Amino acid sequence: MQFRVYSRKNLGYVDSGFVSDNNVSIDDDYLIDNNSTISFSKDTTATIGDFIVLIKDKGAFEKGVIVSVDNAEHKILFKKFIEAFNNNIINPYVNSFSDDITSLRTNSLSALVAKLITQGFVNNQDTEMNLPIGGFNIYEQESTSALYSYSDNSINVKEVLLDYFNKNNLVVDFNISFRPVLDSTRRQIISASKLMVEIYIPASTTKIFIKDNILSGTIVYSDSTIPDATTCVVIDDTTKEILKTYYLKSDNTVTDDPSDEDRILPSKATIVSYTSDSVSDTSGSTVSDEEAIQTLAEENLLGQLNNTLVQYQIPNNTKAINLSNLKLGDKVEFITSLGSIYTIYTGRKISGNNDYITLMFGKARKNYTDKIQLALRKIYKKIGGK
Amino acid sequence: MRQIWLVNPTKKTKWNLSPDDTTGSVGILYKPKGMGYQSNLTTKQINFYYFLSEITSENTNIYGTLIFTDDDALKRFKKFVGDFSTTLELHYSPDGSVVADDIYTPSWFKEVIITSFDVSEKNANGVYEIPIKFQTLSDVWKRYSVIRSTEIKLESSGQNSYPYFFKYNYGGGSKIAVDINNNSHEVGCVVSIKNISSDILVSPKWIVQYSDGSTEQMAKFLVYLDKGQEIKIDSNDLSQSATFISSTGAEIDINQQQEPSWDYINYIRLKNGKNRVIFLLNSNTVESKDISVSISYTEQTEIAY
Repeated sequence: MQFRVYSRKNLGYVDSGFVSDNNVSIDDDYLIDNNSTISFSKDTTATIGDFIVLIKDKGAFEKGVIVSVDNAEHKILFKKFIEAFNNNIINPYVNSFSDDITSLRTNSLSALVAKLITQGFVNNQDTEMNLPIGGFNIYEQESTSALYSYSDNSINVKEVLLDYFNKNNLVVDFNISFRPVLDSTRRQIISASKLMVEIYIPASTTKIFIKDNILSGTIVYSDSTIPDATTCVVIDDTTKEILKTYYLKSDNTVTDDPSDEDRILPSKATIVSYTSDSVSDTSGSTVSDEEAIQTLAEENLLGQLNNTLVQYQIPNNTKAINLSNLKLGDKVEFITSLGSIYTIYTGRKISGNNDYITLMFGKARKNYTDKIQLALRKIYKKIGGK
Repeated sequence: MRQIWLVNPTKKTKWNLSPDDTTGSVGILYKPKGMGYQSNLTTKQINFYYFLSEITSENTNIYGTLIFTDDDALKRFKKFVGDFSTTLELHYSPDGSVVADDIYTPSWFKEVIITSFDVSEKNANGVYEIPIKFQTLSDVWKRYSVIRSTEIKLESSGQNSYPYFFKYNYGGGSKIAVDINNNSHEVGCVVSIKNISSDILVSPKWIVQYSDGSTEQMAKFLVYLDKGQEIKIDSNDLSQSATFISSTGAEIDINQQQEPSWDYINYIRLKNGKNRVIFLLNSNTVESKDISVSISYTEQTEIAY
């Protein structure tokens, strides 16, 4: 396997080399902040923040952002692409929040995310913070509305992106549009390559099926936790009257029909209060009460659905599942003799020369260190939101 | 009869450990052990089936007894090894098809260091019997292999087929290709491309297709090669490098001039089975002629047959 490092500044060549399959450990769990590691046999000129790609035969086998370079042990540690956005920026919507506006509603979540990234990493006054972004490739399978309730002066873009992954399955990755040009001496490549930020929201209707008839594939851990809330009752803040009740559906949408066949059961309620005009559009115009109440319910219900964990082990050369087609955030249905498990794909773990890989599904975690990370993130949200 | 000999690669000298004529002053390796291969398997059971989950090969050391017929042989052996921390090559031809004096046929070898050499008194027959231990630096036997075309004339009307290299229709054009049958492990190789014509060769590219159905690998270097200039791309694990060699012999590192797209691995590997390497060599205007290409690699296998 080859590793190749591209400069954070202009995507120019930094370093490359051979890395044995035994010396690669990948953990690209999107939800948890774990490192992937490669070790090799020479000094490297790579620096923290550079982009790294592992190439098996053709195409990127794994992509990431370098977080640590150890030239004594010849090791590089890297994380998923969203680590590039692990930085605080001035909240672009901070002016929109007033005493009576607690949330902003957007009709296109990916456009909002693109705006956050542009503000922090394209048009930043501190040019050192900017990335060589050439544009956004948006794969929003269906129009996704969402609430933006971070009213602090500063926001950490990575934390916001993880929050939107939790609620709306939004995944951010990168691609590079390569444009190498030789200089007049023909001895140097001038990099005119551009970073393309890919924003992906999988369709709620399409699903990948994994049946338990794949002999070499095994579910090594499965845990379905009851969601914290499957029903959202919205009441008026002053009169305390019920305005509307929404129910979570298995396709990660909400309905106001209590007898909907796709309702997630058992019913577990959360009660939220609503003040008229408390939600504004991201462009400044007001949102109708009906729309605002629905988005408020979505805010509280979406993301509850995949509170499960399925760890699935399979040989990495399997033909039974097309691993290259499996994208982070994709919906997956495990069909077992005891019934179906509905979940989403959240990452994979590959270690050393082990011929097995572990695929992670769902947004619950088993290890205590992972659980602590998730719990800490929720505290951050309370501080950031209102 | 099997043949074993040591090569000191720094001094370029040889010591025959299995001479045909044993009457003179010689050193012979008697009853060698550890010439094979060992590995550890970890398996995983699902129902009644076992799946291989991890395989780790083991570095087996080579043991034996060295017999020196007289003091002179022992002294000469000490001189041959020199510094005992030197890495030597232990060559082995189990069926005796290659002999120590054959400089043309490649033979199997392992890199070794002598880590135990237990000198004792002469025995009753007046010879030294010295238990010896060679610590091996590789789990597998290696054998050098080079495939070279001295000159490829793509458009010459006469003979087009040089040994191994042939014309191959790829992408609508006639390209130069070579089939390499690698009977060993997946290995790295050294690809050399030299421009002999006066047309400038622009950004040479090569593709390797595998017979086992795995995805092809591609390489491209963004360089201009004038007459007499050469590039040498080494994809061996420990010596990976990309070098531009000018017509005067000066060497420049061109690692940073590799094609940046991750569709190009740039350092191609030869996998087990048939490997077809196709060269796409073009000047600014026409397909290049008069290019010299060579691929060299080291075969690696568990059993030296």
